[in-house]
Amino acid sequence: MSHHFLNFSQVSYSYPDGMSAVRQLSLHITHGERVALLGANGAGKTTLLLLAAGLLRPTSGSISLGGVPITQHTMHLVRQNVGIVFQNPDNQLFMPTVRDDVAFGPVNMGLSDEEVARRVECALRRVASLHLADRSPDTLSAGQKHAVAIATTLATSPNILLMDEPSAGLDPRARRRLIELVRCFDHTCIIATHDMEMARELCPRAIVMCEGSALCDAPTDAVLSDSALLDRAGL
Amino acid sequence: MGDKLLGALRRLSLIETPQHSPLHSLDGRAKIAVTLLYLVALLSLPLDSLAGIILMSLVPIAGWAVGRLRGRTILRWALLSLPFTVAVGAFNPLLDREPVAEVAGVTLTHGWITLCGLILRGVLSVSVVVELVLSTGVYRLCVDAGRLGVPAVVVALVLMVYRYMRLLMGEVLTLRMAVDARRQRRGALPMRVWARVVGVLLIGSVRRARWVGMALEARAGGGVPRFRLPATKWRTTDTLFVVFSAVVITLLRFVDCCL
Ligand SMILES: Nc1ncnc2c1ncn2[C@@H]1O[C@H](COP(=O)(O)OP(=O)(O)O)[C@@H](O)[C@H]1O
Ligand SMILES: [Mg+2]
Repeated sequence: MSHHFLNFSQVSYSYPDGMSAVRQLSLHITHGERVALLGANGAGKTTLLLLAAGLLRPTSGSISLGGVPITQHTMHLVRQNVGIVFQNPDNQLFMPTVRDDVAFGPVNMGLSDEEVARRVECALRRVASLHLADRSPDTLSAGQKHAVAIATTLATSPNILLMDEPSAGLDPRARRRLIELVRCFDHTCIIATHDMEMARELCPRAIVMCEGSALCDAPTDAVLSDSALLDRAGL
Repeated sequence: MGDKLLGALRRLSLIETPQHSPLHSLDGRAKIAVTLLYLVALLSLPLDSLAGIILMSLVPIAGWAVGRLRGRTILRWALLSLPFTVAVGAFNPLLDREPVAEVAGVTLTHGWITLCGLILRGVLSVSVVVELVLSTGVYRLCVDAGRLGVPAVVVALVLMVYRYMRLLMGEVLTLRMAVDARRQRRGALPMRVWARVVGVLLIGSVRRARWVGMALEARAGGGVPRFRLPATKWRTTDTLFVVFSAVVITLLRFVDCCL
């Protein structure tokens, strides 16, 4: 059974204060697809990613992974398969050193010490941050934190990678590296972004969100050349 | 205040990153065991055996030297114990006036000696605990305590509280900078502003704590997160350290009886 496709059916989510952030959203993302999630600030992109990662539960509707509906009982499937990189790396890093932080996921997967060490090194190398391994995350620059946050997720080898505005705040070289990294990632990838160039380069498919609903779900080139649509979505 | 806090936060981060000294490189479990042993030896000394208590101070001094630790930090924390020990022993000199010795024409009473003993014991106990934390790091200490049998839930809880504390300190800093950036004058904030700032701070830190909680959940694979820091193995040096310290502490403890 492949767990790598993701299905949202009539999903809505309201925050506890009543703010309705995702409304009646349905979508299907198959294995290996790279999808850009576009939308103005507050459109609901982050909420959608948190729902897909099983970190928020839909108020109504259902989400399934590889055909298995996500419930409390199937949550381990989500944890094994879905990795999420938060927009703010300060929210993602919580261990004393970069190395320990990247190791946290693999350790909790119950891997052996050798395998953990191997994964940590491999993940840090992929984001060109091996030299930061013994630093405390508190002392890194924003861009460095960002790279490490990505490594913490890569170290768990997810089959579905969710990234929330990953290129915001990166210098051109780091942004390039991010693009190459995602390009080499041959599993499913959903990227919430305002970086239209990156979306065009990486994602054949784009979903435009507006006020919690999907305004449009089409090939990225078509979306980006439809200026009326972009205008309506506030982009 | 901002600068002080920044310094404190930096030092906290420093504690958590691997340093290089013989004391730092020891296994946390070895250090926990020796610290406990020391505390038992120290606290079992009678309050009036000042010579014995002073002898025991050799251990924290050795720890400070071998670990190349910041003496100022250790002293500052150690002095924090003063109010407590003084409060407990303040009446000893009044209640217990039995003369014990005469030094330069001044009669020393038993009460004064026990008060000194109490204060010294407090300072020494706090010193070794601070040295343990400084040379091991809070994270590793908790994890090693877990390996010594402390339940995983307790370890996770302590670590989360600690993480939350650091978050809160970080929030204070950012907020302080945000306030300063838009203020002509530097210096103390009016009380009125502080009250509001603290409100924002608490809300902000709760929000941050929720995000960190989600980060934990996303990577912990359900259940109680296991905080294992890889690559600490018990080595021969750890065994030697424990045996050597145990012998020294025992000797120091009982040398007193012969004095
Ligand atoms: N913790 C929260 N509590 C209440 N409302 C929230 C919370 N987080 C986000 N929202 C609201 O939900 C809506 C969607 O937010 P979000 O998913 O973060 O949008 P985006 O990531 O596209 O900018 C916004 O209107 C936002 O104000
Ligand atoms: Mg967002």
